[in-house]
Amino acid sequence: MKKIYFDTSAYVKIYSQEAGTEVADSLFKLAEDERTKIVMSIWAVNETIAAIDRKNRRGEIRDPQRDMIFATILRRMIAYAENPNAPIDFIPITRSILTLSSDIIKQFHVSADDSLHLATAYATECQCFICHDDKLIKTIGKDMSGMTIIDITSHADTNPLLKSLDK
Amino acid sequence: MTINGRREKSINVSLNYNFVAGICMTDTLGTPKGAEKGEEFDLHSLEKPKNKIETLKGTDVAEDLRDFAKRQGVDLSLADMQKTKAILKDLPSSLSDEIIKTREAND
Repeated sequence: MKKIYFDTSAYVKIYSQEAGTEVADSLFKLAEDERTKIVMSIWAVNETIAAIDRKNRRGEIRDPQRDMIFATILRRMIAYAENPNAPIDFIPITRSILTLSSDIIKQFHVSADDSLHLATAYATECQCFICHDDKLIKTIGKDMSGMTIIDITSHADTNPLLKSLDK
Repeated sequence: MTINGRREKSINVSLNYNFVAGICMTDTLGTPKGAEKGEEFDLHSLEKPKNKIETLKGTDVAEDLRDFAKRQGVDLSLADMQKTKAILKDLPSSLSDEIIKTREAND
């Protein structure tokens, strides 16, 4: 079964209607149907919560809205975690992933967050790395040692993947 | 005055040279070969972890998240996906963009 890594920039699209949301929803549906396995770093939880927190501090989201969004995100993740047949594997931040992440920073000069996600995907042998980060794709390219880097908003990238999983 | 003026000019030229040289070195050392062109990289030089990467056990993750919610004072019964989508849809920038902007700021 193909393992797909969801970077946080792609994962958050399931919580808001924006470019790439339909693809994210389709991939989660395919995972629920056991056509694929979705892998994520537990770090995505912190990144998502931090993004909401910043929007709250800037006044874009009021406190009650922030609390409701936090609750929605956490409830969804808890539901995935508690379901033994859930489509997501959460990967912890281990020492070996940190070491690999450090190597990736030195080799590719990407941010610590990017390298942590890339290292987690690479170490868990994911075939695809899904993100919405132009700068990262420009730096890494479309292939990282056999792992395809996919822009979730690009139909040219996502159509072949969806087609291959839907067979 | 003329001598001092010349000295000052000379120092400025020297500083500018060092500044430009510094930029050139940073560019040479700081940009991976082919990075600007989006070329493919060979990661075989990176060593994959020898030990198996364990997936977090679901119950542990759930417990951690419940604990996190409790510490943050988040009432999980408030969860509402439709309202969440509606709120996030009307924001000036998407959550996805917010994450990328933060990473760039940390870079």
